[in-house]
Amino acid sequence: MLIEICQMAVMEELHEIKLFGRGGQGIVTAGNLLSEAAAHGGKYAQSIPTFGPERRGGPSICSLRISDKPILLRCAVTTPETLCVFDPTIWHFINILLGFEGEGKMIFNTQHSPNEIEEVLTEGKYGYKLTGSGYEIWTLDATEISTRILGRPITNTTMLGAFSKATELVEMKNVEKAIGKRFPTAAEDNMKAAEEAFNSIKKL
Amino acid sequence: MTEQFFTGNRAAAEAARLARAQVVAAYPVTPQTSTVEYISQFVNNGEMEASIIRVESEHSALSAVVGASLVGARTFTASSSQGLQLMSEVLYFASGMRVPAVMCIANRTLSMPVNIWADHQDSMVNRDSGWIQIYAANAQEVFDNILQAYKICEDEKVLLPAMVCYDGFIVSHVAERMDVLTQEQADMFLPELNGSNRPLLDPKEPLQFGEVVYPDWYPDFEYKKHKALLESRKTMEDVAREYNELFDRPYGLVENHMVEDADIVFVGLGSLTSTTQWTVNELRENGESAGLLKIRVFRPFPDKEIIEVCRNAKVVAVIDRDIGYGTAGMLFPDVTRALYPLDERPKCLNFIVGLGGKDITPETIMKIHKIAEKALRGEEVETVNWPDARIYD
Repeated sequence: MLIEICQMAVMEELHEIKLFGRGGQGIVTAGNLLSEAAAHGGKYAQSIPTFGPERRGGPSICSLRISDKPILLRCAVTTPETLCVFDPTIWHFINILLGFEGEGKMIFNTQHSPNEIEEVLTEGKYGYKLTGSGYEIWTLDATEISTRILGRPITNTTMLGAFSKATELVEMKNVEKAIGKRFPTAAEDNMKAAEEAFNSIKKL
Repeated sequence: MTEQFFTGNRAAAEAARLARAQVVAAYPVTPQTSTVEYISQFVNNGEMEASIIRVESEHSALSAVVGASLVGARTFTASSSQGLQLMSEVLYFASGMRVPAVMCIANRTLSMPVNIWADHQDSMVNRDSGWIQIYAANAQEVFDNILQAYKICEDEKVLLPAMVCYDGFIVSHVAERMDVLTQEQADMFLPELNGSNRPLLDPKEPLQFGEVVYPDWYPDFEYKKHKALLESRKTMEDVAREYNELFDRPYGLVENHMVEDADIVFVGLGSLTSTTQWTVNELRENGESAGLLKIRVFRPFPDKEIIEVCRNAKVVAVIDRDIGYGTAGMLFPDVTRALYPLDERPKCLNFIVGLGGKDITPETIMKIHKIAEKALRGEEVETVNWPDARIYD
């Protein structure tokens, strides 16, 4: 069944996002929860992880698309406008800016401030450089929040709150719905962590 | 109808549940496995009344399904890649004994080298096994096509098995919004299987299936099977029409997008058609004359529909996510055969892309378009092209 939609309308409303983390941190789950939360909000969404026999600790990347219109693309995101970095060091050795055109939002789980992150990225300390002026850098210490509330440094649900606040693409009530469905017995704590992230994330 | 957020594999399991499949036998293989895991959960939770037969191989899984079908049960199984290859022998038994079984295939390439990702090699090499083959591009299509497949297969004019194929991971594991029918709606579309329209195994009236047929009669059997498959297209059209009337979702043997005045027509099947549709829109925005012919039903092959669209095109770019080693892709020869009787044929080119899960992006389709454009200008191009492989000359 082919869905006929106007390309211009689609282009305007399509948001392409990449999530970065390490195997075992729940990046795939985070992508699924975010797309499900977006769907609860009446949007179309799709999360495409790099599928494979991934090792715990190795890099894990997930492509996410959110749109008001049905999504025709069936491939990984190559020009993301939003980056969400779940692991505080993953960006030291993989180029998270690949395809990022200097315009959009970047969310970091880090102890550093947005200013400090900007400095490191524009200096090109890790072999790739941030250019452009249309970017926004958001930071929070999701590892601390997760460890304190959930008892372990798994940041996937915590980062959902940060994503919701920074991008406004998913509402917290829909994040709650998605978390409740996925983790029926641990929903309360996971939601608490997401809410704290929502309230504590800072912008450059 | 309820809106859900399901993966392709979950959609397949939901369709089997709503079709009230009575016997399910399968053996785990990536990326199909979660389909049958969901079905096991449904049965365990009392949401589905089915016997699950645990088997030690795919060969046995399909054998169990054939046996159950011959006593009149509605059956379901699923496989991928090497698993489907192990079923290969039984595929021909199923179609030869005219068993209306439905199987879903989460498409994955064939080893070696080992690779678990999507291409159509596994179902394509079994294209001539006498099964109906339908290709789905997303979770909604997986669901709708499985329900329709039961109705098609069980029609007394058809009585053949069907595979509903969809790309591993990129469809099987990607969750998306889709509409799921209620049990009442599914029952309305697909009535209970009564088995009265075909011979069944019954101890009270013994019958034998799979007898020896001597040479003098063998061609007659083969012709009947071939004819039934060819003529199943009529049933498919009727079933699709009824499905659309009930649930407002139209399906054709092929589906066209912007082909009316297109100089270049892309022909393909599976989820790559979705990205191709996107790219055709992009090309049209740039004033290019391109269109898409998406093949939903690959067996029986929709000759008439393909001729209708392609006779007006100048270049037909057949995109194969598979390779017939030593010749071309496996969709390509069928398209060119269908077009051969035309007095004036378009230039036909073949593009092998996305093997072993290589991502098919708009850039991939743009590369294909570039080569097709060259042919359109009358320049010399290769017939079979590998635009996303590194070519070491």
